[in-house]
Amino acid sequence: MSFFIRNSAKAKISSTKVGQKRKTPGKPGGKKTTNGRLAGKRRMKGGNEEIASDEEILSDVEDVPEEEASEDEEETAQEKRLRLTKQYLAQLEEEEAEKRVTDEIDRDAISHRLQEDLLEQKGKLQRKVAAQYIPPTPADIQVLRGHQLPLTCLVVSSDSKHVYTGAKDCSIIKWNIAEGKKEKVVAGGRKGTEDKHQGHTAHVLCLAISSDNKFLASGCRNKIIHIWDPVSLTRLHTFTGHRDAVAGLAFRKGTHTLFSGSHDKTVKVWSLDEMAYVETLFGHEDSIMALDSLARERAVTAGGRDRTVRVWKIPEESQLVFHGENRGSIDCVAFINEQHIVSGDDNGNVCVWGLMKKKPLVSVRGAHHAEGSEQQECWVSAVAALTNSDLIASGSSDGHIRLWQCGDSFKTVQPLFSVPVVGFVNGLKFSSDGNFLVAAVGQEHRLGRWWRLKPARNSLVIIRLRKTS
Amino acid sequence: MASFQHTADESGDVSSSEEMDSGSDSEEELGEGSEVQKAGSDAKSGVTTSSTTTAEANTMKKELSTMSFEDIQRLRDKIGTKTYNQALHGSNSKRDQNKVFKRANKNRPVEMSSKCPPPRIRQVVPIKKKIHRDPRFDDLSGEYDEKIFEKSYSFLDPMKAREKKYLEKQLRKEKDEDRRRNIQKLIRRMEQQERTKRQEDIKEKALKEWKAKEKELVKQGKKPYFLKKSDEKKLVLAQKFKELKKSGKVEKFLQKKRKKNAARDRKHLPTDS
Repeated sequence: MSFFIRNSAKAKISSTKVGQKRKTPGKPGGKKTTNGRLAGKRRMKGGNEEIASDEEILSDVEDVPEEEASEDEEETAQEKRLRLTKQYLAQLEEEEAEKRVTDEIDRDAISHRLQEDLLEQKGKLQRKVAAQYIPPTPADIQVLRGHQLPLTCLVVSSDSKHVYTGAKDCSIIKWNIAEGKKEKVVAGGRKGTEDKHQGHTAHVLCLAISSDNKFLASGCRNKIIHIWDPVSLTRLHTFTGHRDAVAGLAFRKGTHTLFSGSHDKTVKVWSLDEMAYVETLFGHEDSIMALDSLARERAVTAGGRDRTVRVWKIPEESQLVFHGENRGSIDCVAFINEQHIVSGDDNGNVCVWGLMKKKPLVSVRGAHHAEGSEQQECWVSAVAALTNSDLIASGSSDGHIRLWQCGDSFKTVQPLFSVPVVGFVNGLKFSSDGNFLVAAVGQEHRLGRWWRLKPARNSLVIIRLRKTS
Repeated sequence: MASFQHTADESGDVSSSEEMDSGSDSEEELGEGSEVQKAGSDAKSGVTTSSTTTAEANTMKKELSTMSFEDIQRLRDKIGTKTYNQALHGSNSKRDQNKVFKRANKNRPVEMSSKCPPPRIRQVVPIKKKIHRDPRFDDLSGEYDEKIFEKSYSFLDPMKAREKKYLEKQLRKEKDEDRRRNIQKLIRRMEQQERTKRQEDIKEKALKEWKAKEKELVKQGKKPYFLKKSDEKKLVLAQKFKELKKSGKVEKFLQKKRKKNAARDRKHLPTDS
């Protein structure tokens, strides 16, 4: 009892010290301090009427120069969020009003949607679907061949009808899933024909597609990013500016902002509405191996040999650094939801991270083991997650794609089943509805030729996932 | 945006001669930029967005209004639209650059600015800093206790004896005077050390005996008695006598003692001054 009293006494003393500068309390993630700021503003404007006490003046002193400067010119991150939230609310109300016949807008429906969105933002929306899936039969696995050299990357369009793959033969192929065949091919050119050739002349390392299917971006070893129209596969624009191979690309969901990570240790932000370069983010100490992004203005990158996973907060111009273990290289990374990340490294570990903890929440060691006498651990070359659910997949060269189920609030990870696939799994993606999983398989690793598995075939593997119901 | 309009009108009033000057200025400005024409590259790593006041922003707008559209586009590609807009509308992002990110508790990941380029030379293996300790003053070495020290380093005694024997052998072989002197010095030092050690041993033995006796008596009820320096000397002498008797060198010792005393007394005799 006395312990409590002592604490409350301390709290009382600290709050009533007159003349001490009160700093705005730091909240996790730096969100929702709009109240503090706006209150300060109001006090300033209404200062003529009432005499502000010493405390108030001193607490505003720190805020004043910032407010004055940013008031007219530029909105801070918080104000931007406020404006966007108001817009979103207005949009929701419109939608609900359209749905309803009567004039009264159903507040419950809006609040339900808002709740879901809030959960999604917080990373707590976790649809427990993993348990419903059953292992696929051989009939569910479709192998499509078309590339000459190993596939390196792939993306699924948001309507889950097309898959785009890139390979070491510098070509990009658009596949139709329903029919199971190629629709369009952008052939690769020979080295030295960069001016004339329409496609790539070096290994295509990464692909990304915008959520409204307006733009497809591809990055290659020639330090360039090509922007294509996904329907016709005609080239729209080329971005230069990176100083080394572009290894990771991702669009921000719902926008035309493109993030690109490269082996020159920088992340660049591009705006495709203006077809312009926006900014560069520094921080990695070694080549960036992979990049992913969801709906928030954030990107996550896998740092390779610097053994870090970094989450970049674009509006705040800051980064969160998550350190992996002391040896090895983190090769692939993906967002599970807004607050959780899954990553794979070359020691065969698959780790799930939460944005609030500096150490991984779960670390599955030796997720992929090579069969045979060597007992060597295989590099995890691709990870994927079904957005806002508890299903994750990891691929390596050991002949299996393993699917995992994340436990409550991502504190545990249980193996579900594995799909037999021969070769290096260089890319893995779930369709948005979770009905199938696509894998880009090749005879070699996407970044080099340390091994060449002869029995493997350079192919796109479509695995239909069936649920029990 | 009203301010931008204003400057546009201003530049409209400017005469052609002034335009030429500002045109050349802008060319100079781009002279550097045109060499590094890679769009979207920060040629000088860490292009700082300096906090521009409205006056600077106005001059920038004036210059920009005289540049051709292509040049403006090239500039925007080079520095990025974010910094371009910031410089144009004069916001201070320098304040953000010096912002110190403090995490709520130590379990949160480290947060740092994403605008500072990392150092070029990277420490691949974490190098540990060597901590230098002086065992004499370090708490880790513990307290000094003579007895424990002697006991733990008693293994050195046979080694010292061996070394002395070796030195004596060397002395017999050595002809060079200098080196002979050195060896003799060393042998003398070692002998001195042995002698002092022997005397210390004798002293310790005597005192130990006395203390043991005293303890017994105190237990039986007698008041404890602490030795004076002179008493200690007497005890030591007694012990020495015992040892000499054991080894049979009493006579020799007494002779030496008499000689010494005689010499001392002779010194105190009166002299003819």
